[in-house]
Amino acid sequence: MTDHSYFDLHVHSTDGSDDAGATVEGYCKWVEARRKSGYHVDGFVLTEHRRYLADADYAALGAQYGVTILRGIEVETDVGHVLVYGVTDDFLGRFDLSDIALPYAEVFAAAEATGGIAVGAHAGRPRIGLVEHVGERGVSLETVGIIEALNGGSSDYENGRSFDLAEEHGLQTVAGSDAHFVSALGRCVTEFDVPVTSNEELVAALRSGAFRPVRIEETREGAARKELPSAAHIPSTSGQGELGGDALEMDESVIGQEVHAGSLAVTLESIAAYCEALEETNPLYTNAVWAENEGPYGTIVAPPGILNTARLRPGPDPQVRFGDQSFMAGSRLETFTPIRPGDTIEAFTQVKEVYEKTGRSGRMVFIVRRTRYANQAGVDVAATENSMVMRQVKALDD
Amino acid sequence: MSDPLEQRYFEDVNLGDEFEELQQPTSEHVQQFLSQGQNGGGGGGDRAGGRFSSAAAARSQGLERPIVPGTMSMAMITRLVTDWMGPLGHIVQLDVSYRRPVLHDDQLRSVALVTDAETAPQVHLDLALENERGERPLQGTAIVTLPTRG
Repeated sequence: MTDHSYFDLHVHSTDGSDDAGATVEGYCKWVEARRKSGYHVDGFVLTEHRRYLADADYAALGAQYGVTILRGIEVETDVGHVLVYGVTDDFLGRFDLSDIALPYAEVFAAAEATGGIAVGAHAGRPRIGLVEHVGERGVSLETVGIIEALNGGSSDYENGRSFDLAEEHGLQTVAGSDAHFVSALGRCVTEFDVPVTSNEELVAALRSGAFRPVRIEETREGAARKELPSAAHIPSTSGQGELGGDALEMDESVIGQEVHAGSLAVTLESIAAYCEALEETNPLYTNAVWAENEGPYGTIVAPPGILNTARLRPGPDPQVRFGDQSFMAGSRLETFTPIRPGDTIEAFTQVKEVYEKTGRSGRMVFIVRRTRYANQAGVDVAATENSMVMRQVKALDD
Repeated sequence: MSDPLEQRYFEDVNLGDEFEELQQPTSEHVQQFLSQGQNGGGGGGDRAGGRFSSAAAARSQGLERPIVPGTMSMAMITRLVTDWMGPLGHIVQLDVSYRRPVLHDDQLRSVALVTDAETAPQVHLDLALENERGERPLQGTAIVTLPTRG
């Protein structure tokens, strides 16, 4: 087993992906922990969404933890997402990476022509994987040699569809965790028959064909290999929505403008009602006697989550004309100072950014709003960021 | 389930430690949570056209059942962290992304995993809500500070 090397070929970090919650150093520490548990992970490839970290230098970090950190990119094409390894300036110069519908055949061909190699990412996922485009539109796989068939973020059914496509068309297969969070890294990895220590060696190894997807538990010394899944025997998942091609219409002038969005009166009663809804029993928030005598603040304080109940005016409207429904995509809470009963919290909101990308449900537009909360003394007590995703939906009864 | 009265200290935390709580948000819980929304001045209640309370509205939007508001899911995972860290702990930052809807009556396992506990007093956590269908509708991270015994 020592002749082989094991790489997670699909990893996102806070250095380059807006939806990732893991730092590169966090991943390195997790690799250390996995090794102590007997698993084998030699390194990983950062494949940030539509962004190549050309200037990033992870050599020192990699040396510190004994982890090989390589770089690629995940781009979005008209047949779904594509991972590119061995990225060169020549390759980058041929495409507008912000485009969410790059011509896939050109991406695969350009990667090959510029010294790299392209891989169809999470091939079995609806809309953003190759399977559906081959099945429904009959797209050609002439330029495609490898697909990611074992993806840590895909369901068993989606991975099964990928393996079925590979079997049917004679494609080679790799694995990647698609990690966005530390503990997901290495969930599945690609086993190479040779050591890999650089981006050039990674491309050479992928071109050699001597590799295979494995699950993390299969990297242990003496571990048995499990059969690869087929979608034929796995319950299906469903996709929604359609890819749209229209340019995004919006008012960019409102981005960054902070406005007063409302006031939140925090009382003992509102804290108690919140705790009841959440079945909260922490005495810091629920027991006045305990909080006064033994708590760190001399009084009950509000649970940090109480800010989630504030119904504020939405703030400036970027007037995005897209989709027919919006959902919460993500939230961030930063806390600075405890919120106490009797506090009047003023909220100030701004549109931080607007961007688009593609997912299982097709094309999506994200609006990120940041809200700053200040108490009656003008002290910032917390901040939140909420990301709303706008997309087309399809009724179940249609 | 963590005892919120028990104080956790930085020295007691190790990389890979895992903790969890089981929760099942019912329609009543969701209504209680939404009723808090009168505060703030921006209007409250089920502003999204009923998908948080109405089966018909949910189905018209492609959802099997009414869903739990994202803000409530975030509040549930926040509670997991505050229960675990104890009264002297402090949430510096908590980030979540909503990957799939949380449906009313879903049997949820809120789970957290320590991913970094090297630099006192900060501890990094990975967070997730898992449902009975094996999905992770919410994933995220938190940075908390814990008191040290010294």
